[in-house]
Amino acid sequence: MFDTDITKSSAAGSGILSKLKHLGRERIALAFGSAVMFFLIFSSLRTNYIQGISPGRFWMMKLSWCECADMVLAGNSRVYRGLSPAQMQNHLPSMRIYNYAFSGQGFSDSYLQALEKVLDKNAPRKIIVLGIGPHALTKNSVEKNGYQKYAGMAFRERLVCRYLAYPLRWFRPLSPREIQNFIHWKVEKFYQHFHADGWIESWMEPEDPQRDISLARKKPPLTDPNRIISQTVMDNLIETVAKWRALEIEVYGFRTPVGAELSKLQNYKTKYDEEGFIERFEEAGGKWLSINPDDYHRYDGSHLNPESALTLSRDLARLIKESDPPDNKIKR
Amino acid sequence: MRFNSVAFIGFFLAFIVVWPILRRRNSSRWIYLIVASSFFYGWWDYRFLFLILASGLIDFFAALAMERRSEYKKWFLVVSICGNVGSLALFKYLDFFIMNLNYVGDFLGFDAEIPLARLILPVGISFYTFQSMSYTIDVYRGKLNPTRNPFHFFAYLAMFPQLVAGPIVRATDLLPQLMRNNPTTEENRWQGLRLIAYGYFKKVVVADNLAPLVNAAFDAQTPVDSAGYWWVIIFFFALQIYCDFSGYSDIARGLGKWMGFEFPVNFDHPYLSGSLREFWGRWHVSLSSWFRDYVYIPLGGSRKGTCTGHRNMWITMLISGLWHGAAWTFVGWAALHALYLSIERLTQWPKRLIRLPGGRHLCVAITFILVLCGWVFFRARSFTQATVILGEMFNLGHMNFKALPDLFQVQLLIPLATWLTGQVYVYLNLSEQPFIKNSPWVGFLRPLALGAIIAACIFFKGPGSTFIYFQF
Repeated sequence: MFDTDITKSSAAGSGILSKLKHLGRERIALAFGSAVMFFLIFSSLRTNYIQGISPGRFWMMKLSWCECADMVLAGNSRVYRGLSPAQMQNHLPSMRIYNYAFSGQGFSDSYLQALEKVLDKNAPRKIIVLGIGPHALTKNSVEKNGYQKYAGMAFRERLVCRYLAYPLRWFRPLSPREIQNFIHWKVEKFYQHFHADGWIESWMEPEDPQRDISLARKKPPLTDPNRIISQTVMDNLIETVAKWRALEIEVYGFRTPVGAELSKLQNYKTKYDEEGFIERFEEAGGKWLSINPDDYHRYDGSHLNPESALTLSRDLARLIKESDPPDNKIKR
Repeated sequence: MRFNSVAFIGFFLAFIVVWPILRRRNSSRWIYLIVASSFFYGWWDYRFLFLILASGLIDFFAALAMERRSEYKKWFLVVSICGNVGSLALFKYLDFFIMNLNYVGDFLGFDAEIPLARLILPVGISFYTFQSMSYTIDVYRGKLNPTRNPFHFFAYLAMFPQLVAGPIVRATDLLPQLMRNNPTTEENRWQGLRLIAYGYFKKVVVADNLAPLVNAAFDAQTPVDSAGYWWVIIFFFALQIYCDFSGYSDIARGLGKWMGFEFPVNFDHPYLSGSLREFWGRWHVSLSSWFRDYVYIPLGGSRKGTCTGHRNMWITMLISGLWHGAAWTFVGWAALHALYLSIERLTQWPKRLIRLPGGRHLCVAITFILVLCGWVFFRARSFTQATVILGEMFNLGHMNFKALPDLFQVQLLIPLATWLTGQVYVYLNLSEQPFIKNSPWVGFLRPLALGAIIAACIFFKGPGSTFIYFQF
């Protein structure tokens, strides 16, 4: 009986092996089949969730805006995640507001010119709101930024980005954070909702409000001149503000609220004299909007969660509504 | 149109659907290849098409003329070479020549500066001009009869898988293949799929994840003062350039297999070489064999004595360095390799070391270190930067490991681990080991592994994009 069992199990084993061998002959089909299986497995590692407009379409949409706004919001990720035009419009109902911020954005010539082009020349009141932090005034951010990346795309690439954005989002690579989370067996979900007005509503579960502060503390002082405040970039921005004022465009600036400690660390490492900059900004005709960073909650130390983004949007809208137009009188 | 783009995937799928029908006859096969290749090449810039057309027509008619008027064949060869080298000189080397002229003029006290031409470098010009020249030279030597059909010739010259970054395919190899309808077998398609998948993995997962780290290190205003850091960066660059370039060649060969064509192996695990001579027999084989057959051997090779042999080798290497780029750093890289080869020829050190216990492994390690030192010149922006970096690398008393943790980022773990596993598999010849060769599971596991590689190309893709050798 025992021998029979062995014979039976051997026969069963060789049957499985021969089935596998037969399957192995269909190797191309098997390769594609297993690719689909691994695709599904790797997809389960995604912890970045996207809602609303597909990212590619979102950025192409921003680039297509032209003479459609009464108010343009400009800056980097802290602005596109931190300001909701729809919320601002609740307090400034007569204004068409667009969030024209891009990732890692610095105030380059091309970006500043693009901002002007988004404004409707015939609008009764034209406003540009600049979210200014030290990184936006470095050479690095002027040379490598989101606006440049997308505006520099060939026409064909833009078409693919815009019209194939939805199917392509399923084929986007895992981010370093997603890979890190998998390796450390950490569950950290990141949600982004892309709105048509240029706001990316974003939040994390669980939150890590100390993350960017810890990273900033660990980094040594910067030695690369491209990553500290550039006098040239600053001078160019101030000149542009003065030029806009001469064109009767109201210019407002504010420091994106990152918390006192991170703010101090960033100012120190980039050698940013914020008070000196604000003084020059106001001399050129701009108006600085002071906000209390402690009034807002950041999910990663730098970027506002949705509730705080709506609060900041409301607060800035109120400040703009209440502020008198700067020295050059504006005809409405 | 880059291989790693959505546009190319769409293009190739559309191409391969119609190919089995149109490849049955010579005329439709050639015309379809030319139309597809023109579309592929013109995607970058349609103006480039006129140059490849002009260059190709010169060579096509020069070869025919050599056959009809053989008494003047030398002059027709000169016309062909001048046409090809002339276009290279104009688009690739003119500004290099002007910059050096301005430098000499400045040194001699002349104030006036010649303005740079700033001509756009047509993609792949270094590759297709060499491919075209090999045709006319082989006709001149009597190794090949010229084709009378311009479509046949242009199908060879402009074939899209290997048009912009090689492998440089000889006319003696490809023209006969183009004369036949080569239906693909299941084995071709399987091998082609493997090559395409491995090629994409090497390029988009390994090379593109290493690129940002290497670029940041070389773009920094002040180089990091750490020997450990620079050895790791140069190792990363060695991996990047190998995976980038061999990845492209693998994709080209894989696409060729799906089309029914065999392209030569261009990279044969060069970092497992036990000598510099062996390295040059495994690295960019199509180019090094081109230089051997059309420069080194016509100069006399090593047949005319030791000194002449060394001289010919140096000339060939220096021209090869200049082929890679219009900059003195490339010449410096080539000169360093020429020096290595000269020393190797004179001392025969690999043959001596290999007799020692573990000698082969020692030879491989030494060769790899020498190649790494050469890559410093290849990648550096200037001679000054290259010498500073080499100085840091050999300042072994200042290893400064603190700078290293930033380099080993998590998204590198999978590419590095996979690549190293592959190299160990090849180095130890594990595929021939009985426990793997005779295993009944191999036939099932290979497709599974390939599926994982394909999926990894999507999910672990790095941020870099352009193939390094496109700049040549």
